[in-house]
Amino acid sequence: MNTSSIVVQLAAKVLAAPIAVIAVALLVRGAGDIGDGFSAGAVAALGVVLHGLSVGAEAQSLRVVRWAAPIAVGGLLGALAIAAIPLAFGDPLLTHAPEPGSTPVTLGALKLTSAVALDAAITCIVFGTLVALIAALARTAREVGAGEADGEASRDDDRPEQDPRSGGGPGGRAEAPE
Amino acid sequence: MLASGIGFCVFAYAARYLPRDLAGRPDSLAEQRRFWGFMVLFLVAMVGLATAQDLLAIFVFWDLTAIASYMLIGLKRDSASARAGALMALLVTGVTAVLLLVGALVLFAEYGTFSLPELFDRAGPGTAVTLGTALLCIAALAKSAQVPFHFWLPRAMTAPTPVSAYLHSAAMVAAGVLLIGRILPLIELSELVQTALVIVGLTTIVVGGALALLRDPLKQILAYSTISQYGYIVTAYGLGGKAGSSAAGLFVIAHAIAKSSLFMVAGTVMQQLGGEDRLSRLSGMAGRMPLTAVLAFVACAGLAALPLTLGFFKDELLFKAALEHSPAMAIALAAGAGLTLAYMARFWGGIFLAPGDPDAPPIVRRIATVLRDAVWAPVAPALMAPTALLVMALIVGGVWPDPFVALADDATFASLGTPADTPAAYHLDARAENLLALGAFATAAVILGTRMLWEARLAALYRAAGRIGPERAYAWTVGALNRLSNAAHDFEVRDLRTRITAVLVPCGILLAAGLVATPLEGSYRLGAVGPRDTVLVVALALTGLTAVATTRPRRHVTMVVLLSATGYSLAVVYAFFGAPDVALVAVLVETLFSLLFLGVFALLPSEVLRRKQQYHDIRVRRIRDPLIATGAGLFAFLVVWSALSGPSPEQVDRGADLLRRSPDAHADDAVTGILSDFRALDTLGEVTVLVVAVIAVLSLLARRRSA
Repeated sequence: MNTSSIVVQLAAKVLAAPIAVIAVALLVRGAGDIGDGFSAGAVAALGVVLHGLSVGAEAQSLRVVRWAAPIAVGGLLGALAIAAIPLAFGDPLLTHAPEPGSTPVTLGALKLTSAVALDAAITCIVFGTLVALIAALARTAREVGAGEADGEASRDDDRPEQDPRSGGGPGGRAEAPE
Repeated sequence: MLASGIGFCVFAYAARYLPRDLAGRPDSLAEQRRFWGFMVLFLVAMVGLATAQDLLAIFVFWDLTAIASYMLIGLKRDSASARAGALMALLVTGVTAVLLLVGALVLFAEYGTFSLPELFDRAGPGTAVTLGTALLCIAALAKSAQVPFHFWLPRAMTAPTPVSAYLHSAAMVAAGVLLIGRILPLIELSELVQTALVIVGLTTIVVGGALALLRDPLKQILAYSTISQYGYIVTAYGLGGKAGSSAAGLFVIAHAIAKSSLFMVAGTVMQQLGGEDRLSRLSGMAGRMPLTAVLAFVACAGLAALPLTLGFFKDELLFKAALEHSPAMAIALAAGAGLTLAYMARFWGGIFLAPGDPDAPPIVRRIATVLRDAVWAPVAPALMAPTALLVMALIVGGVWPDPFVALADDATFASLGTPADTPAAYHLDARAENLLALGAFATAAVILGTRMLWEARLAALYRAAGRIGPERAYAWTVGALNRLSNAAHDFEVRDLRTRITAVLVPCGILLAAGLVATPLEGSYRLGAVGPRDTVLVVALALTGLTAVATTRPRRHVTMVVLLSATGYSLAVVYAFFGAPDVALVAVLVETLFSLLFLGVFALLPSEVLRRKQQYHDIRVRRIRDPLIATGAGLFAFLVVWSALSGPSPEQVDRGADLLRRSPDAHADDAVTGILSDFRALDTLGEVTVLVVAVIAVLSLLARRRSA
């Protein structure tokens, strides 16, 4: 194990908790401040990707990766349910609850409204789809790349430059077939 | 009512006919399944079409019938003529269906509604009504196979006989005149459209009738007869008024019953003779299939308007409506009726009689033969029963027409909103209608008697029309469109760049046309730039630089890095422009996209990536690509600039309104309020698409892994 992967591993461990907090904060405070469900889901997904980089191939066995697709589909079903519930009370689709102008129940900064519930569902969808997609790309790249490397002795071109901001993550694996 | 009643009989007939017809074909079971599925779809669409009160709903059902008809005509997928016929029917009725939509939109633009009852209330004479109604009528005429759109119907006869019996005699072609009937109050507002309908109707009567006299295959004769008969109906609607509408209604009913039974007779005859479908090779079938002959006789009589059948009254009412219009019109229609009788006589006589047979048995023996064969009829009862049921309806209608006339009057009531009470009975006196009917019979006798004189000339005329007629124009148009489509396709699929070019260049041309057409005054404003905007300007300059730089490197990873640099500097612009929400999303999206790009590159074979790196070495591309890119970018820039320079007052109001309402909706952050509340339906749609797309990508990747 080389130094850079140790650094990544350490960073992943240290950063996991703050990233989770930021994601939740973006969602909860989104109604009143910068951020929304999409940002929360995307930040959380980036956190998982960072963690995946540190553990490499084992990332596939992470519980959150295996559950990513169900989380996305569950989020979608939740969003559709939130949209449809007002129909049961004779209101139009996606009616805002509680009534506009009234004071909603709050839990700290969290306002319990239908819009925030929809935002939470969107967080699940964004998080689930992104994690599932990146994990599937990485897994396919590894398996197909391994297959190709077996067939043809790897002619190592010069290593492609890495994107410093994207952390060289799957990019680290991206050079395998190059 | 008509659709379901005849539908029932045809379904019963098909249950017996189809397994035999398709027997011995490789995937006969699948074809049968398709047949039943699309027949039911068609039935549902037809009922929907008949009950719809709204032009948009009519359009949807209209297209559904076209799709069902396409699948049914092309049921035998291995037959080239079936495929060509299906495509022709789909194109002719489908392309004109677009006119239906355009017509509906014209009326909507003028009167603000698609609902027919509301349109009848609001519409008055004027250009919009004439134009909209004319467009609707063109669609209807194409569907009812009127000249010059008639050519699709004979080609559609490659369909299995039950399909022809149902779709192409009773239902699909009836949909056209059904629409005309529905919009009759609009048509009556425009004399131009009325006159056009009469002209098209009369032309169609002559063209269809003449070709029915000429053609040899049984089903084609019936198809041309259908064309000609619907010419009457269109004429009747063109005559207008209660009499015209009721006549058209009864005509549709009587014709549908008679023609469906004739198609079933033709199918039975063809099946008994192992697929022989040419009139010239058939004769004397009365001895072999006497019951069929009798049924066919009544059906022909019904179509040719002989007394004691329902058909008689369809002509009576029509003559009456025409007399209200003008005597000349009535005489023209009577001549047309003579034409009908002539080709029906040819049809029946050609199949069932043995012309000039010297050994013909004396009449008494002949009746005995008929009775004996009736007992031992070789034709399956399941084929005969539905035909017999329809033929019975014709005879009942001939004796007791009141229920059918009441039905036609109901249709008039539905069209015009005024009750009609059309009298129908036999009158044994010399009134004009009766004289016209006699005139029609005499015309038929003359036509058949002088056959030698006109047959060859008519055939020559038909061949000449084939060289310059509308069918030729159709073939040429389809061929040219096909070549154009192939050329565009060949260019587009060459590689990813040509694919993008195929999108960007037409977009650029459209935008340029839009720019030329719009007044540009005040739409290109330059704001002031002060010292406070320095960061903004620097970030924008960086964005531009990185965007240009993206075109230079050869290595794909470098390109991705530069591309994300463009995105990040744009995020900075947003942040300084006072849109931190957008900036945050931009940064996140950029990061994720970089990751996805790198992941996809890892999947591409290294050979492909290496080959694509040589791309810049080809000279023509070094000139062409920057030109296309600059052009597309320039037009996009011009449009965005003008949009941002002068937002419309409504846009500004709407934005201010959203800002004001955000706190009420428990969102102090307007962006979140818009995304998850005001525009939540949009968001919901987007996330649904996202999940579906990702599921598709995941399954593609899984397939790649397993391969």
